[in-house]
Amino acid sequence: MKAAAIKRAPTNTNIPDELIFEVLTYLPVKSLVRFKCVSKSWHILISSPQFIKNHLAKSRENDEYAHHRVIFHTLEPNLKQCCINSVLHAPLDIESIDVDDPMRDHYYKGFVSSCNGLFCIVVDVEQIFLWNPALRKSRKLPKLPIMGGKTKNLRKKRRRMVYGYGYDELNDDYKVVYYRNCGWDSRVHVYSLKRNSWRRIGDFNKGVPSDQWGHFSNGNLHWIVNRDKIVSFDMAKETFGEVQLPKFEEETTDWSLEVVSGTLALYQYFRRYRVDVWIMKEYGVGDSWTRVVFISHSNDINGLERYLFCLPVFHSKNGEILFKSACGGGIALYSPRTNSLTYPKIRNLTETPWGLDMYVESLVLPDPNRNTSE
Amino acid sequence: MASKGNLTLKSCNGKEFIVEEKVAVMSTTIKNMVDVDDSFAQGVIPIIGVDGKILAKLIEYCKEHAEADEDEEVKSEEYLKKFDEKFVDELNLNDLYDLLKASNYLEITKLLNLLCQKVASMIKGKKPEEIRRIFNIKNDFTPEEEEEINRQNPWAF
Repeated sequence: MKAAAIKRAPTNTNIPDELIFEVLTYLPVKSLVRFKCVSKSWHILISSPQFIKNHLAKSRENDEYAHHRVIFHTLEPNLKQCCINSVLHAPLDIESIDVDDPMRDHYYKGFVSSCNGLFCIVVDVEQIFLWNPALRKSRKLPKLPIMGGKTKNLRKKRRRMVYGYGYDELNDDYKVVYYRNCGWDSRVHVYSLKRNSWRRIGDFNKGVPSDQWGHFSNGNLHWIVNRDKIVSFDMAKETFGEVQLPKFEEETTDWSLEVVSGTLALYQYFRRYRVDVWIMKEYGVGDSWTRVVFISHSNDINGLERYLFCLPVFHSKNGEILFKSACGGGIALYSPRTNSLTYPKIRNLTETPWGLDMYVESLVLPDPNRNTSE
Repeated sequence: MASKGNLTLKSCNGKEFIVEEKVAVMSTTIKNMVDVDDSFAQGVIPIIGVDGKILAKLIEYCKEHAEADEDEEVKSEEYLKKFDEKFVDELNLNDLYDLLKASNYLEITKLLNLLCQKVASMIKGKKPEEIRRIFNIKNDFTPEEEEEINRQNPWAF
């Protein structure tokens, strides 16, 4: 039997399974979902936790950002999305498609963040969804365990809420952290996708956070607190800590925290002058904060001023930075080559989008049992 | 016999190639052979299951991607990217699959990634039945099972 197999002339089809599976890690989510019906072994492979992990790692590392997507918020009821490359290469004529949005009926949607292709979204203050847009799968989390006191005013309630979302690698779990930004109630609750329930873990007594959404990096969530420190939350241990600040060359009180390609980044704003970007090269090591770029106002004074308090959402390897406004004022693309800003426009839409969020397409299911192989 | 700093690689159909050691050790498999057994560095290294045509292609790739010597100019990322694009575009299907297998066996990681990506881009828009044909896979689902899977995600088809 073996001899016959060797004698057979080599054909295109005698590629070993391990190699075919390696090839599959390079495919987009849509193709993989379709290829689940190729055979039983492909179905098992594509659904397996190890494959999902490998595929995610490849998608994240992709040089061309082929699996990075941008979701735009516009004045139209539908969310639009496009490939990040359209924004980088043709920012004034972005081709976009409608997103299948399971939360379409909710007026207020707060995108906490995305992690491994899974978004955490707060709707109408108290309802939270986990959503994988590439797989078109979502999960409505159990209601928050405590609600905002006596006030019925949603906007007032909303201002007090602090959320964070990220991945607990140690326990292979997705978690949502929630507490209130007010003096009389500092209880912290954590939702675990594995348990599919909320749990009180203690109190928040570090001060007043200035960020509503936590920033997830290196297994920790981060908030700026009291405008003078970075408070972290360890997703595995479920404890609070602090991260050292850079040794600023010039002091300002206007700075914001972001996570850029998994790395903690700090944006320091100098009104009318420039924006400095600091990167924490080695997580947890205070001395590793490095000032990498600063955007000066030379060619675009009005633009920069308008975007002075914008939040960066994406750094390309060529140094382009995509910003969104903190208060819904629009989005902008910074090019280091020309040291100027462009305001992206979507084809067929007269208004520029008022906001955007990014994610990497993945096969991660918003499902407590996602780890058990089929 | 190869001079110092060079290695001799021999394909399965007897073709010999003398290449610089830094080019040959782009292959982790060859690197391990040379590291473990000094006689390989002196004599001829047989490359089992890889014919002369494919081995020549592998060497062409490794030459471009090998680390620059001190007196050489470092190639730009852009140059290598262009080279890679041209390299995979000029391959016919049989050579592509043979190279894929050879780079896997010889553990030339960069090339393996490049080729996997190429195959992926060729199959990403295909229908399941086309995939079965390409990779010679038997459909072991019943029609009902297949329909059920398709029904779960109609948007992907």
